Amino acid sequence: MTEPADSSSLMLRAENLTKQFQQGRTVVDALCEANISVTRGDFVAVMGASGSGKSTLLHLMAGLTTPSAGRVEIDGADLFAMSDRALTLFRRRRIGLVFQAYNLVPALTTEQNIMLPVLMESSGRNHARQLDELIERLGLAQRRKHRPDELSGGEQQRVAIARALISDPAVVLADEPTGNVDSVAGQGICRLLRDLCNDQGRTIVMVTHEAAVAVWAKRIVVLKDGRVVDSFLTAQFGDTDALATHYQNVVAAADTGEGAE
Amino acid sequence: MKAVWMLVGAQTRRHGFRLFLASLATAASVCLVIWVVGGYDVLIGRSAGLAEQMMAPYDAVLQTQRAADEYPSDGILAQAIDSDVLEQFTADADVALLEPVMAVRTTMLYPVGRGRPGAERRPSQRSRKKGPAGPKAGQKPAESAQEFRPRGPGGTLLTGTTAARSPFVMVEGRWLDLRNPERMEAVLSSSAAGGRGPGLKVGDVFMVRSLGGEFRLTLVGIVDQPTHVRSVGGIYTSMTVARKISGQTPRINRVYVALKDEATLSDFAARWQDALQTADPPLALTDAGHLRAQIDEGRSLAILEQQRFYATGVSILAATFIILTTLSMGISERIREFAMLRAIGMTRGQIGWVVFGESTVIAAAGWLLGLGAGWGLLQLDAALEGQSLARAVPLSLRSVLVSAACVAVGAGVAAALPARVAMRLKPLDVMATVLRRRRSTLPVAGVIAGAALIAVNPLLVYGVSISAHLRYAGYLVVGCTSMALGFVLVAPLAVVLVERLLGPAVAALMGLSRHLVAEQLSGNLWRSVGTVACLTVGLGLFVSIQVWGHSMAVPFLPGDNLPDVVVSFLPSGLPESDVDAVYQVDGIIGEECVPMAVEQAKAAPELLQCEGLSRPRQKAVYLFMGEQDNILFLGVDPPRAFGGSNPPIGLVFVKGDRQTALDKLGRGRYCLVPDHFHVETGLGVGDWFSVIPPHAPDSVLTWEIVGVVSIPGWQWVTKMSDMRRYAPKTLASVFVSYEGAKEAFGLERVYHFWANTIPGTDSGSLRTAMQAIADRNTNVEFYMPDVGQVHTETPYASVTDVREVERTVRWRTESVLWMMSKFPLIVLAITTLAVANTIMASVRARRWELGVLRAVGLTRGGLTRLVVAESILVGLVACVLSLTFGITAAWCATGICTYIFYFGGLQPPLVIPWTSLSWSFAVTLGLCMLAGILPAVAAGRTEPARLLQAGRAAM
Repeated sequence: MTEPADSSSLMLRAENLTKQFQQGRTVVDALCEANISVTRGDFVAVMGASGSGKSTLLHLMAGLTTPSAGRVEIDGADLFAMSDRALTLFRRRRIGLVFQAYNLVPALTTEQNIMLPVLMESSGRNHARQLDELIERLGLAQRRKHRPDELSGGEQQRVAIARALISDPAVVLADEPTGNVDSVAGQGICRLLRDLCNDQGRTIVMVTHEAAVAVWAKRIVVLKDGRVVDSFLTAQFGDTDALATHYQNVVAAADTGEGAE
Repeated sequence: MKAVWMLVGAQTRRHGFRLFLASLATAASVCLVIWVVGGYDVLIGRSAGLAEQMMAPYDAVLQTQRAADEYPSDGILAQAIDSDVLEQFTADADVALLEPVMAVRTTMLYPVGRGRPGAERRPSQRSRKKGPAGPKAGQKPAESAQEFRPRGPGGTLLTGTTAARSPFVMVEGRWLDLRNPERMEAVLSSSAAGGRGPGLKVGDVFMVRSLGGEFRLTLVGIVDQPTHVRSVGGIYTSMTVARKISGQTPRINRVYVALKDEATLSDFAARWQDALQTADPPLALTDAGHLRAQIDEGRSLAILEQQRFYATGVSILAATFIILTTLSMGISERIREFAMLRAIGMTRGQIGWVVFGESTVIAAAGWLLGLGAGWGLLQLDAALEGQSLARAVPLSLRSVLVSAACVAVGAGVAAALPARVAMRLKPLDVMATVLRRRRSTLPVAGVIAGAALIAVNPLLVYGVSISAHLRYAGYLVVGCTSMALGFVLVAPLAVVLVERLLGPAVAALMGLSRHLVAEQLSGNLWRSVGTVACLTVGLGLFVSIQVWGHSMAVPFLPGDNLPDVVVSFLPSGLPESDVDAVYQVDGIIGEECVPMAVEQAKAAPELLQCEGLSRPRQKAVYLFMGEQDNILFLGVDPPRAFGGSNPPIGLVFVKGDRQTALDKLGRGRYCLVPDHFHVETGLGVGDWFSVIPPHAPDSVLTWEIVGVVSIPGWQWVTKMSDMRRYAPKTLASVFVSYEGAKEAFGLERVYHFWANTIPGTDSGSLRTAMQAIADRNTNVEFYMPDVGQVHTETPYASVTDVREVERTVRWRTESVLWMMSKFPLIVLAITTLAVANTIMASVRARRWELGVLRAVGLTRGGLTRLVVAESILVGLVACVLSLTFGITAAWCATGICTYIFYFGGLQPPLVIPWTSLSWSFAVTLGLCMLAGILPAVAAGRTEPARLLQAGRAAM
């Protein structure tokens, strides 16, 4: 359902991705033959209602769970062909993860939380410059030595984003990154992600159910009942309301089996 | 590894207090190891110096080979050193100084209220039951009846010397005045005078008993000499006084030798070896090394060695459980954090290292703290022993290494389970919107495996037919280990059961709804198990020691079938003509007074020459060959002792017919043996055994068993009334006929009477009256087998109150058990810190839940009580588990003792000392409550909103 991209600039590709869960004797399709391609520097929002499979899709793209069928390639590497250790190292170096609940280590300071992925490496490469740049860019200069419980929700999420970026990943995967913050902070985070994409050419895939958040992305993939039902560019909509209307139409059309466009 | 150490460091800072508590508890475990292992090493180190101090200023001692090798009995000390050898020795060019002495075995009696510490702490003389009473208040003791008491069974060696000057440093008074050798004065070693604590002072009078009778000596000086072994004299007198006390002709049985500076002892000894071995009797030259071995033996270093392993094992267990609870609490609180770390790229190995790192921090901090505390404890111990603080006791390298190993093993084992849990977390766990609460379920398979493991030890002890050695080894190596592991595995069941059965009662007690405490412990089963296991290490050991000790004491407590007193006329006995006088002493029930013909005879070597011995007889031979190589014969008139409806000695027949046995007993060489003898040797009614009569060592007497009887408590009664003339240990006391014993062993006089007394009889008056009878027979000449002709100048009478013996045995049992229980009780106190730690973490992990409870109406006090209820439940589980563990362990221990100790031959009934156990349980519950109060109050004082916020943040 997603438009094919030029293979040379392809950063993430999910092919026929299927995930089934066993619930008692019933097999539930959480995701069904989903195909998504994300090009380098793209900012894609995956939208869908609760239970549509968007979080499952993100987990699969991050290699946090294995698919029932299909494959995921990031920067040319097949995630599920790797061993657990290789996948762990790949995730550490090439995937940046941002969680809805921030998931910072409470005992560590802002700096330490951000540096965590690179400190896990034994190479000992100096990331001080990247750290300073990220802290400066994310507006955390005054919070370098603070611990998570001394930060606001927005600040905590910015620390989480910085942590996702410190290892210069191929792709940043964000799961409802604004879910736990107020609307103002949420807008700030969205702007930040968009800027990272525009200014640094970061590749970002973000899961959300809010049109006001998704509108910051360049492209939106809509999921319904585990299937990709549409994909469209956000630029064609003037504002959030128009996008929301279009999204609702897509979902409604999927219900009746018609195409939205 | 940077990230690992950063996380470890951050966690340490964040949960500093909790880790401090865990480190403190670990430190206490280390401290115990240092104390026990270091103390042992210090003791070993001191043995060397002590032996030299005992010997100073001499290099060696020349004595008979038997005196060097065996217990210095009267017979052995009666052997004189060949005068020719002595002459040649004196002429030897390497000898600088020779000091010939006469060593005499004595019993030293201290005036009541003086002497060794503990002597005055013995139970009072007043009988609780029937029997003689102690002196009444205000009663003036007669001079002759002034109270002197031995400090216990065993003797003190008296040395008769001709040395004009003290060979040792005088610490008080003066040396013997040998210009007046008749003077009844003595010099004591510092140990004999009392050592530390209130002892004898110069000018005090004390008494000694020996074959010459009972003598008063005035203390004129104290020398700086430790005399902790039986072969070194603690009393010094002139040779004249020594001869008088010994009742024997003067003889030199020991020669102290100092060599010239240029001579070496090894060369000297090698040169004399052949001459000494061929002398009559054979002689031996012993040095400080020989003494050192005796000191080590006297200090029961083997037991100390076992204690060292015991302490190390227990400390490892305690440290393991303490660290385990701390770490597992950390893991359960940080599931999301670990999952997130996995999600952002931390490998399983790195996660494991984080857990091991935190364990290492606790262990390292605990070890360093423990080293300091242990060193301090050793100094304190040394100071209490009277050593100068300036002479600091160093930490031995071994104690440092053992404690480090102990902590390392504890930390490693403790980290393994939490690390496994953390490593198995899936990265996806971090994505759960609501933290998945891992509700623990009862590990049924583990509980079944635990029950099976617990069953291994009883099976090994009671259930399988294997050799005693294999059984003991299996018990130690397999049985105890599997039982300990088994109880850890069944602990979850104990947690669940106590929570369900006692939880409602605790809830009611604390004024809470029972639903609130329904899953307090099982909600996080393994954390609870860890905490309970922590407490059970100390409490369970305490229970097992108490149950085992009280059970093992049963066979040694005199039963009601023994008479009230044993009256002894020593060393020369009474002529038959004086027996009636004893019957008529005020307080003695004449018709219940039984004269006894007592003799201690060695088992005959003929037994060993019999071929094709039956299995019971082989066992008997094996036992006879050990240290208990003799039988104590108690000759009584059967109708007088056992006849009538209320006989003085109420025998309980285990085997054999009473009437037939008593009929036979009076007709020849027939005997009644105690039940433990029957069980151990397998010899029963109709079987026989042979002994060598002391007065005719070339002959053999055979006795047939006509009955097996139960006589609990005979051991201490016969020991404390000096019935064992030749050896302190004996295999059994057997009853024979009075006339038979006299005829068989050539006894002409009566030495002992077993008697019942009129209730309320005063023991002082009884002793005075008996002494008056003894005084009729002063200056008696008699022949003592193995010793020769003896002249008793002042015979004495002693009265052994059987109930007093019972109280003494009980008191000693309590003392020993208390000594043994100190260690587990300290461990219990230490592990309470783990409870505090667990409750703190439990509160922390449930802040959100507690916040909700507060929000919906639970009062501040209610919340506090809820947390305290949890700590009480932990204590209750520990009590239940410890009781079960303690009784099982004690049951197995008493069983195994029947194989490894001779007197354990009979399986004693299991005695549960509920009073002391109840106290220990009350203390445990109290400590648990105390441990829970701090976190309870802290939780109660926190605003509900903060609890909710903090709880959410934790998610």
